[in-house]
Amino acid sequence: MILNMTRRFFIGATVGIMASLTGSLSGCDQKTPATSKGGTGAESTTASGGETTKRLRIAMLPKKKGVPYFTSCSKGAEEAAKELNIELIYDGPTDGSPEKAASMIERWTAQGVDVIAVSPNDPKVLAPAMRAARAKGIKVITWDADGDTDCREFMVNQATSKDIGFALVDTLVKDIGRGVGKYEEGDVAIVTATLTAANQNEWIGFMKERLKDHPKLHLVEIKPSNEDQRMAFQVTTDLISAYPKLRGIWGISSVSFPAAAEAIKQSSKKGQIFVTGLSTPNDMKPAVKEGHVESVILWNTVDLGYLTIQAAHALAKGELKAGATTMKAGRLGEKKIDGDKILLGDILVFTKDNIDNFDF
Amino acid sequence: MRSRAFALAVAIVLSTLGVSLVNPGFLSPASLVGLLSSMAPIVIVAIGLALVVICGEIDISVGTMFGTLAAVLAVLASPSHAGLPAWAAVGIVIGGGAAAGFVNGALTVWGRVPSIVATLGTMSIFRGVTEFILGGNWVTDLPADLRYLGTGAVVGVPICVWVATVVALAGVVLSRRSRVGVRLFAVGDHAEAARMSRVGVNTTKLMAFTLCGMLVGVAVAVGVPRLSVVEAGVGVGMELAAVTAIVVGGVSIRGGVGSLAGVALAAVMLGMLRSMLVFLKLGEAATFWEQAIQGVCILAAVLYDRGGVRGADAPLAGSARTNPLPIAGVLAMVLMIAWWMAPEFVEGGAQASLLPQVAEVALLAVPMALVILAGGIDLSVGASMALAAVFAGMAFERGAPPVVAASVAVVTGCACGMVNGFFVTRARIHPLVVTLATMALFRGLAEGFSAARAISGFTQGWTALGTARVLGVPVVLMPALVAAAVAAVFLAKSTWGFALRATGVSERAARYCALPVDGLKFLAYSLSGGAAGVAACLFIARRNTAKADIGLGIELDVITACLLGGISLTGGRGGIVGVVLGVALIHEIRQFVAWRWYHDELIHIVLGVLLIGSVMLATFVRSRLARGPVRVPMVPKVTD
Repeated sequence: MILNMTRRFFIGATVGIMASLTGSLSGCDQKTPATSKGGTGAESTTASGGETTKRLRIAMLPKKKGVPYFTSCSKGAEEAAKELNIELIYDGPTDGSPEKAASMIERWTAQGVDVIAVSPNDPKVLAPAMRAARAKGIKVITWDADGDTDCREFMVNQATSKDIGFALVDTLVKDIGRGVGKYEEGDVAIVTATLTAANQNEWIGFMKERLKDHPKLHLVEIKPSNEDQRMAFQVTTDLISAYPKLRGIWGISSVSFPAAAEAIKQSSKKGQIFVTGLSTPNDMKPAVKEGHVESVILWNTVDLGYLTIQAAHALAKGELKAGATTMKAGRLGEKKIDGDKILLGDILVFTKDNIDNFDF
Repeated sequence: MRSRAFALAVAIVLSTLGVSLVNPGFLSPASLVGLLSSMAPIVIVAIGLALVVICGEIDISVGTMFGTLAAVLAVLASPSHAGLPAWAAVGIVIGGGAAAGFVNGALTVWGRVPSIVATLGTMSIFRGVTEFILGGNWVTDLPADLRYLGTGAVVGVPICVWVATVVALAGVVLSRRSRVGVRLFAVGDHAEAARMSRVGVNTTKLMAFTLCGMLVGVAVAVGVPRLSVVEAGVGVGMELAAVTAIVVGGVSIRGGVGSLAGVALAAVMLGMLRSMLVFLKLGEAATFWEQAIQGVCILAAVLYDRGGVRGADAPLAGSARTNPLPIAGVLAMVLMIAWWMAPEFVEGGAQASLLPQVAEVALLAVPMALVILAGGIDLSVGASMALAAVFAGMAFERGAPPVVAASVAVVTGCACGMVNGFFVTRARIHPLVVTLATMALFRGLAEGFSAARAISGFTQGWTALGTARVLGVPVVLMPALVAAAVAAVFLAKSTWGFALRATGVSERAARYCALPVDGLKFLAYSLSGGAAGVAACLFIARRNTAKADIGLGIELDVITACLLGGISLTGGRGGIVGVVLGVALIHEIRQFVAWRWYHDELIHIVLGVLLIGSVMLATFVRSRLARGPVRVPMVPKVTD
């Protein structure tokens, strides 16, 4: 009898939880049918009632959802979406899996969105899905990182892999030179995301190319951190002990940069080993102000998200066509187009002198 | 088992000396202190998990629980968020850990959900919750007094190392010298016998889960403040590291055997491996082989464990075939809700166009079901798939025609499966342990051989299969359909099907009956590997890419589908129809949640709740339908 009651309780509870979950979720969407996130095509047409023009739906895919870099891009994207009155879908794999990203593109293709803006985590894996979307008549652009050129119409380009790779090398070389006078011979190392990370591997290729100009710096190790801060920290600590002549480290994934910086800070070599990488300025402000990080490299991510949605909108409206040399991008004004690349502007280097001017 | 701890200690000393001969920097205080403090959280978590494993259960949610507690700690302590004093935040996190552990225990003990299913569910839920707590941002302003817990030192030794040492010693004393410890082992060795001896089985298990959760909280308190940033990826994969430490440390995954000293030393040994490779200065090329080297080391360590197949066989309760109706009901309900909320998801061409995405999981689930029915498990399918794809890609690059390259993939997959089958049947090592090791090994080999690059540009004929359809059915789905049909007939109609089930129910009895137990198990693992090879070809067809990171984590989806489909991890029970429904359910849930809410975070939570909920439902329905065998207690319950 008692057992029976407990069972009934469990069934009741399970059903109750599931019902309330679905209820609350549907509720939160129904309350705000015109929100930029969520909502389906059917809904947006019913919401707009008698209007004849359907709101544009633009889907924006980051490489990895839930990291500050892409979160700040999404803020700019939402800003543009509000200005242009379009429906923005911002979603991506929280684990950065390329296969999941590809399946998202396929899902949006089935939903018939108007534009898909892709930041490809792995251009090769995403290519077939992007081509299939184009074949269905959906406009596809890339942003943040490029895909195969036949997979997209335009790329919103903040920096090519070459720019990033070269900037990483140049910045660290400058820091090393400033720190210990003219640098002598020394070792440098890279702490990357995973060994299979496509973007990072491309950057590493260009970094190696640029390092040829600095024959006194020896690239001794390229170590994966598997996007695990603890592992990145440990690898950096090991590198510091294992290579007494180590002068610099690049942390080239979202978490390997702060972890490497922290490892250097906690080691006895603070001030002798320099570290740089890509990061949003807000996240590295404490480290830059404390002085164990000299320079942080990035671009204006909010503007990148904003420009991406502006470009997607212009493309869908037919205002942006192949061969154009400029486009109007809302508050950013006129932006140059080089071939099929819409240029955001220069790579920024944040130091303790200018980092307070940026808030993203 | 004391000898295991001794052997590990010797291995640690010898390898430390060996590496320091090559690079004296390894023995420097800075490097040793750094090394030990980086292992501290893993040691603490592994000790906690070992308590659960010793009493015959498992908690695979520890990694994502670590992440959730880290996020909670950060949000509570950070001045820009809640800004609580450090001691309060730490107290809440340790208490919260204990509560989370208690929930896992309660689901297992009172909810009667097998612990691996319950914690697979909570693992997924914790993961989603972490993302929601942090909301896509990092916490970078941990207060100084909290940071001190991670960076401070007492007598030159970091606080986290002190805490880990105390936890390890306390664990050893608790397990060896206390009544609680005796109960843990007794419950893990034979729950029924323990119950007869007036040991409170449920109480003991609940206590183990709660302690484990609490220790995860402790590990967070001393491990997280060592780093300057708290983000959603903290703790990911920790459960794998902890389970590896436990099996290498000599704890039997079936419970009742093991020493916590061994676990602590194994965690240290495994933590040292990667660092040693840095100090050996092998350079860039060697980095690609790092994971393979680790896999070999783990395999070598567990080979030493010839404990073999042991422990009580679970009595087969109820019918051998589970009733697929509850799961079908849940699937129907999901589709109804989906149809009500977003009709175009069910009605239009959406279903058909999204179907190919499930090709690999569906195919792998069928042989996985056979493996689990035979009392085993195969964690290495994703890694086998990657190795098969890489070999196929390399063959293709060298000019092999597609058919040959595809055959290379299938042969590679089969070979991977045979390796698993060999170690399981000949060396008699627990399949979870074998495939945990080969999972690292196969993926490591894939990384090493391909130097981690992507191979693309497969011929049109191959990639066209990815989108081709025959009579409306995607071609990539056909291998799965054929495999399911064949397996269903095999299980229902052939003698070998019954023999396979018998092996899972009681391997000993099956041997007495002169059934070809080893042959059947070997066959099941080979099929699982072969399917991984075919899955690699399907992936290439769909994505035109062969790479060492494909299929990463797919084993979780596959096993979840089997569990949802009513395959019992104790072996013997379950049917293919259920598995197919399980695959469909996961697929539909994942697609619909993403379709409707565009929140990747949400999927984890919904899947976790659904997994636990539907297994509870199935248990309920089963015990209703087959009253008697399940519910008759073996002995009168005695309270202590």
